[in-house]
Amino acid sequence: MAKHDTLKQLADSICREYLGFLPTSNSVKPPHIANGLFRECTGETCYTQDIHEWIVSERRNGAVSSSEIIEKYQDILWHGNKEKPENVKQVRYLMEEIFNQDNTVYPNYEFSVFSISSHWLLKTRVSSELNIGRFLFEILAKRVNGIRSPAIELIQSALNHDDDDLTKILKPIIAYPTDREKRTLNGIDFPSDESIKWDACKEAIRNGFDNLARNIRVTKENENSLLVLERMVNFAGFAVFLYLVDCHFALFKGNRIPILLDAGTELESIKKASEQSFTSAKKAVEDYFMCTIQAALSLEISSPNKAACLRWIEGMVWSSAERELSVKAAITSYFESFSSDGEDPLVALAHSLQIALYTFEYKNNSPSDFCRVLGVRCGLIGPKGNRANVKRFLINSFTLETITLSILSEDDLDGIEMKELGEKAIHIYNILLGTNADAEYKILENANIAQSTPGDLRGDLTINAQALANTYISLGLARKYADGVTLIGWRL
Amino acid sequence: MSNLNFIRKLYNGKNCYSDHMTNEELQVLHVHSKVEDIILEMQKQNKIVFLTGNPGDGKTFLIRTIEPQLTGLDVYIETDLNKITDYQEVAEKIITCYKGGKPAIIAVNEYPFIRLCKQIRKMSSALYEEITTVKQNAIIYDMPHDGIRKVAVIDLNERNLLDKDHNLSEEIITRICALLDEDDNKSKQLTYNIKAMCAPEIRGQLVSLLDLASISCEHFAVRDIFGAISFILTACETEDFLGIPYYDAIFVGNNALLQMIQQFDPIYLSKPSVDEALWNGEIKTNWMLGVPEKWPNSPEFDDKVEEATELFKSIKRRYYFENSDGEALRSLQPTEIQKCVEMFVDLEHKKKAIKERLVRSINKLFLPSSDDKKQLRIWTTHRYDLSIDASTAISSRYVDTSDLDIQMPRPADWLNGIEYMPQHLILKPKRKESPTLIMDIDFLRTLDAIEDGYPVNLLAPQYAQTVAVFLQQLYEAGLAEENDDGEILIASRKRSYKRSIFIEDGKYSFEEADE
Repeated sequence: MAKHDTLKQLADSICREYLGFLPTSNSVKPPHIANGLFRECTGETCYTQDIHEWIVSERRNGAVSSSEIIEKYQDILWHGNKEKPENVKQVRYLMEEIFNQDNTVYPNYEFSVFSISSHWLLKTRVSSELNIGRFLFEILAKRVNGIRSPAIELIQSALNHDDDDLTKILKPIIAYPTDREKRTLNGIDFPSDESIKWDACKEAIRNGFDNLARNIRVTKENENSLLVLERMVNFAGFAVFLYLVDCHFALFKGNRIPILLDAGTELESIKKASEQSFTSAKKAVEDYFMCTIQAALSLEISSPNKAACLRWIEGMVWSSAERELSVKAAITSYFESFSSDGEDPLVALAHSLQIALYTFEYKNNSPSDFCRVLGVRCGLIGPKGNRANVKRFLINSFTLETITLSILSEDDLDGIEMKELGEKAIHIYNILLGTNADAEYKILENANIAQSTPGDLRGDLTINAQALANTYISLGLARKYADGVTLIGWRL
Repeated sequence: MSNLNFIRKLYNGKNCYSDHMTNEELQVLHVHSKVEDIILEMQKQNKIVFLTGNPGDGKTFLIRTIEPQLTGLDVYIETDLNKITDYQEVAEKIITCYKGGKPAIIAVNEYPFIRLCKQIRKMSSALYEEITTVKQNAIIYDMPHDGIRKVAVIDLNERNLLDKDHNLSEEIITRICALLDEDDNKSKQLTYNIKAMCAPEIRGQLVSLLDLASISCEHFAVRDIFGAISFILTACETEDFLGIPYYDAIFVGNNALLQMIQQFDPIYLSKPSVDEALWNGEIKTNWMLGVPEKWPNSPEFDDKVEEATELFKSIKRRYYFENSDGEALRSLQPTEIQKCVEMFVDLEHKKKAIKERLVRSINKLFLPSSDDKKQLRIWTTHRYDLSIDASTAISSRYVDTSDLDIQMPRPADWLNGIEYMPQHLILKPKRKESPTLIMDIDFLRTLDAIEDGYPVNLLAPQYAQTVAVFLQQLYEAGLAEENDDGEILIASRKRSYKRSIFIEDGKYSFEEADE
């Protein structure tokens, strides 16, 4: 359909050709990112339909009945076909709780992914992956100073470890009739370095993955394969969010958006500033879309005056007469309006198309919604739940730890001052922890956030930093001294 | 300077810093600590001593106190590394001492110490390794460790001057009172405060509050202790708190120790009959320093509820300290911390029971209905979506509780006698050094709350995270045993319900379903 509709085609090409993934679905959940990224890192998929049959419990519509399970899998039941359906039913119910922990297993196998515990649960592509796995894998696969990211090897090794309790529960199913026929080893599809589009934000993400992988080894977290997988997916979610928010800055020299982390202290000024910071982040994504559309249009419209732009609108192809009638009229009207506001014709056209995309193509699943949904699910945005409709960067302690481990170098693990960590967080991700109140206030002022924040934002930034320091301390990542110095590191 | 002025400035003033004190003043405040003997002995043995800790811990003070005794030993002394900008120069001097077998003593705050160590690592890996090893093994458990060779690191953070066994808080109160008493022209309130502190029962109540603060997992520097006692006695002489009695001053000060004590304010200890009698002015007996003159129910407060309430708070505090029945209120102080501390006290003779109780609490973190204390289950949870709580835990392995050991830290042998109070317990495999689960007072309180049936999901999640990592480490270290008959426990944490699956020879069998 996209081929016959200019607007849809444009929507598609921005995501696929420019961005590299599709931030246009609310259905994305961390296990979808996991399935995509892990599959790319291992080049492996497994046959999991039998696992799916078991773990979709009978309370779900379309589930296979326990009697059928007994019949079909009697060879892996001690009591064979004499097993009681009620026993199987109760166990399947708990199995579903285990492997559908993240609510990504549906009665329809095609759309389902599991809470992956080892390579045996890797599936072929599902639509909700949104190409995120490939996008991230390319960042990891690029040879920087001649080497690919150590994160790839770490993920491979964690997935190969299949002695964990979760995988163990599935072993009889995996091994029936033989485990060999369940695996498909396609080989890893490494892209050539030249084919990978590179920018400052991707470099920051890559360095983050590299640091995280190294620090996981230093702190011996790598001995816990499930924790490694959780950590990597947690950072992957953050990385995608960051790229979306930061690419306008990285690629088009737009404003860099400050990410003000709220430690959950209920300080009104921090709450408001963090909310505005999140709103600015969503606006930055819109700006990126507009700039990308403009870049695409400049290839098509050689003399971008108003008449040429109107001709371009006139030449748009529509998939239906109805769309042509409503959407085209809206684009023309936006264009006229932005032009009369003094916008350059090409900018006005790009702006109009961006609004049209958000209004007609991404009605309930715009990139802004994607940011919110992904952010909440990877522990960066809160409060969770639909009732809290104003979100902010209310960070979860696990995510805070992950991001911090992605910032610290191996040397830093010996101990750096919290203030120094704050400076690094700003430099690398433009994350504000509140450790450098004056500098961070200035950043928030430049982003037009500080001016409209109630209360003593400057003072509250310091209190927020103290609360974050307390979280670090309880995680064993920091030590506080009486003179107010907090050292961040490992085994301090 | 009068003694009053000198003492008053100990609270948040420049007298907190030994650099500003004369030798005479140093001696006045000098409280003998075992650390001095340890340092002197080491200097005689030509060792390099790094004296680390927080600002205010008394590092410079200590060195200045023992300096006369170091004469003739040719010791390289650095009383305050914070003033040094060139770490390389200091590192060179230390390395020279290290190679030449000369003694040295360096006072350094924690962060500059880390920077100094980084510099030393670049210049002498042998010295760096020795510093790191000694630092890590200064506080030990039951495993034997090598003693020190050429280097000692004494961390004054580990020294607890409020340690009950050493009775230092009482000594400091007595000494400050004596100093203040020497002054002429004392105000009426200050005279009253000194008199009160001279009464053993009243002083005992204050010391018991300091004890409660000392067991709460916080570290208090010497400066905090002197500052707190100075403020309690002399706040009445300051502009902001003019005339305030000691029993109110204790709960308005803002230094770290006083802030900690504020949570034990007697106004939070409720005994309705006592409260009513205090409000109505009915308690007229057993006052050690005289009956209060005003009571909250006095007609003058008829339209001044707030003032009456403030007076009530003050009288209740006074009752706590100065009425011989006030001691009974002490039993109402929060017991959670005390209960945890009892674990430390009782550890040696109730080790098995304490260990089993902790194991049961840890199991309850994953399955609230669990009553298993004989086996520490290796529980696994796994989720990617952080907006959802992990609802299920699984366990196919366990470690027998009898294979685990619970231990309390103690100073290494070469630090023997240092004022030390353990603030955490560790759970670890018997006869092995790792993995260890470090449980501080807060963690132990969390486990205690779980034991008492507190909902797990309302507690700080990081403890479950820490426990999960420890359990996996036990498994990775090959210390866990498989359940019998290939049993795998599946625990639904939301419903506090479990079922078993048995896997043997690649086949399932199931626990009989509930009818």
